[in-house]
Parts: sequence; C-alpha cells; structure tokens
Amino acid sequence: MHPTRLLAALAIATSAFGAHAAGDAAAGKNKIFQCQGCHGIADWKSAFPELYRVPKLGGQKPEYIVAALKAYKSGDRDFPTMRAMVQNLSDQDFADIAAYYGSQPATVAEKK
Amino acid sequence: MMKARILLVAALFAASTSALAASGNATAGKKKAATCAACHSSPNAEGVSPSPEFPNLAGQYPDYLETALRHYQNGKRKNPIMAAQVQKLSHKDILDLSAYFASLKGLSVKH
Repeated sequence: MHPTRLLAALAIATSAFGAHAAGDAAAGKNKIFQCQGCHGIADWKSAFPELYRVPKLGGQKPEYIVAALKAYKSGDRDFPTMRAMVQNLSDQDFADIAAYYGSQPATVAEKK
Repeated sequence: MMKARILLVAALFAASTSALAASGNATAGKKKAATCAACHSSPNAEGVSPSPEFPNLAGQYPDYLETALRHYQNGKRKNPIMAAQVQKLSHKDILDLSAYFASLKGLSVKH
C-alpha cells in the first residue's frame, strides 16, 4: 500500500475507534464459532445458574460488547459460562468479535 | 411411579411457563423509562443508545434484561452507573422496563 494511503487509513481507523483496539469484522467472523453455539440461536436459553434467554448481539454497540467481555474476564460480571469463554481471548479478539456482531447488517429474527 | 413422574413433569412445565407469563407491562414500562432514556434512547429511536459506551436495549429479550437489571442490583454485575440507577427499582419496575425495551424494534439474532 502507498504510504499516504496507509496513513489515511490509519487516521480513519484511529478516529473511528479512539484509543481502543480497532476491530476487524472479517477477522471476527472467524472467531465466533463458540459464541454462536448460544448467541446464534434464536431464543436460546442459559440454563445455569439462571434460566433466561441469552442476549441478542446483532446490531449491538461494538464498544459496549468489548466492555461487557472485559467485565466477564475481570469478574465484574459474574457469570461462569461467559467467564470461561473469554479467558483465552485477547483484547484484539474482543474488538474483532464486537465488530462482527455490531458493525454488519444483522439478520433480523422474526419478532413474535 | 410413572404417574408421579408425569405429574412432576407437568408441574415443572406449568411452573416454567407461568414464570415466563409473569411478564411486565410495556406501557407502564415506558412511563418508568424516562431516566433510562438519557443513555439508552436517541431522539428518534427509543432504546437505541446515542453513545457507543451504552448498549442498545430495543428488541432485546425481556428475560435477559430482567436478569441483567437484577444482577446490577445484587452486585453480580459491577457497574457504578447502573448500580445507582437500579437501586430503587421494584421487581415490578424491572419487569415493566424490560417489557418496554423488548417491545421496541432493534437488536436481532445474528447468525
């Protein structure tokens, strides 16, 4: 890539994401196979320790998703399944996964 | 024995469905959501956050929202902003607010 172009791209990426790691939705698509086992199924319920449907992520704010994932990792959110899921994920993984769920047009599930 | 088992299953099923049926009132929830709107609603899109820091709530599952609010109350989720907001919410308030935000069009299941 031409240096000027690269600089422009970097500037855009930096301004769009501020101080956070820039998420790559395409990379994120390859990191979500575990997430989809619950979050990719409409009305999927978490059975332990409480019974409720796991949240919809399509169209969620990427920055919020990253904050939530970090909170599961640090223990600020106390939920064993998510804590286990995020243990081996890096900040870059978080950003990529968040970009995938948040930045692409979501497949709209039928509202009942 | 078999009959007892069937009865047990039926009772469990009834309990689980009645628990789901004990849902909130979206109209009442809307009236209670004025404070929430400051961070979770935009002028032209209720339940869609104006800020990247705060989640969109429109279209989210009500039972998930209820759980999240309860967790902010009991400290299973630690967040200073939300902890202050949910302190005075009753169980009914939580059900109504969750029903309201769930009734809006927004989030979806991404496959």
